[in-house]
Amino acid sequence: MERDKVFTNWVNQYTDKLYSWTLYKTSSKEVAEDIVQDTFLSVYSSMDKFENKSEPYTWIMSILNNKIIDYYKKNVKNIVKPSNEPVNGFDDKGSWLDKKVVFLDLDEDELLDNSGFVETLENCYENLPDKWRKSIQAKYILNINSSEICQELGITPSNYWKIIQRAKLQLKGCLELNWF
Amino acid sequence: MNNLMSNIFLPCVKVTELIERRNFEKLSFIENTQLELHKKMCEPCRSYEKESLLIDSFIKKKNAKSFDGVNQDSEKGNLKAKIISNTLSK
Repeated sequence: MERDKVFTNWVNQYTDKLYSWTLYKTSSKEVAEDIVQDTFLSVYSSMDKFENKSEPYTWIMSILNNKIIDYYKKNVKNIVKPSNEPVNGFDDKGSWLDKKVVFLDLDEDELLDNSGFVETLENCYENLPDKWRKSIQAKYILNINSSEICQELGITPSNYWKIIQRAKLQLKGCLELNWF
Repeated sequence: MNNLMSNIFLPCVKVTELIERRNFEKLSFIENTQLELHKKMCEPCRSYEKESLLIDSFIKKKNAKSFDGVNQDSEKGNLKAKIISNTLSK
């Protein structure tokens, strides 16, 4: 069948690119595979609607990008943190409980070249609550501005910054405990 | 006087939130002044800012790495076959 042949060609031609892009965006092989497969399913079922007005690659990429956004929406959507919940690490006046300043004198490039440090940070990062990690990732991954992120994720901007703040504070605590 | 002071000097918990917000959007002139003033006097908040930037660099670097690493991935041949057989059998 002509349609199947065209589809097979597209799969062979574009899978590598789509997969690389999705892996870059999601940092997970399983998720990337799922999203790419799902994308091609949609491509196949809506091939009749594709009118060769644009490049097939452009069309397929737009489907893929919507799937990536859906993935983030589904996973981060339900974080609506009560904003008056106290943030860990501060007293009731909002001052630091622990005034350690371990990061102040450190050289960033040196630390990021230090495999022991990177490994510790990696572990701390992996141990963050899933939704916090995804919130942080969303900024780098979707490469869109904060109001778009919040719109996509269905949260308010002030909740979004508070989530990032909490995630960073947790990483800070984890690093101080396990590295310094 | 107390009121004036608390308007100028934000608590650390608020300052760390501003540090994160500044990553995303421009702060107002007043917020920026409050933030800079606070940082001048508060070592732990300066340390927090540095840590925050460090983590951002780490995540950027990590993402870039997983992007580079993909092309040596031999599993992609399997993925193509899987997509074709799964989709066409439906």
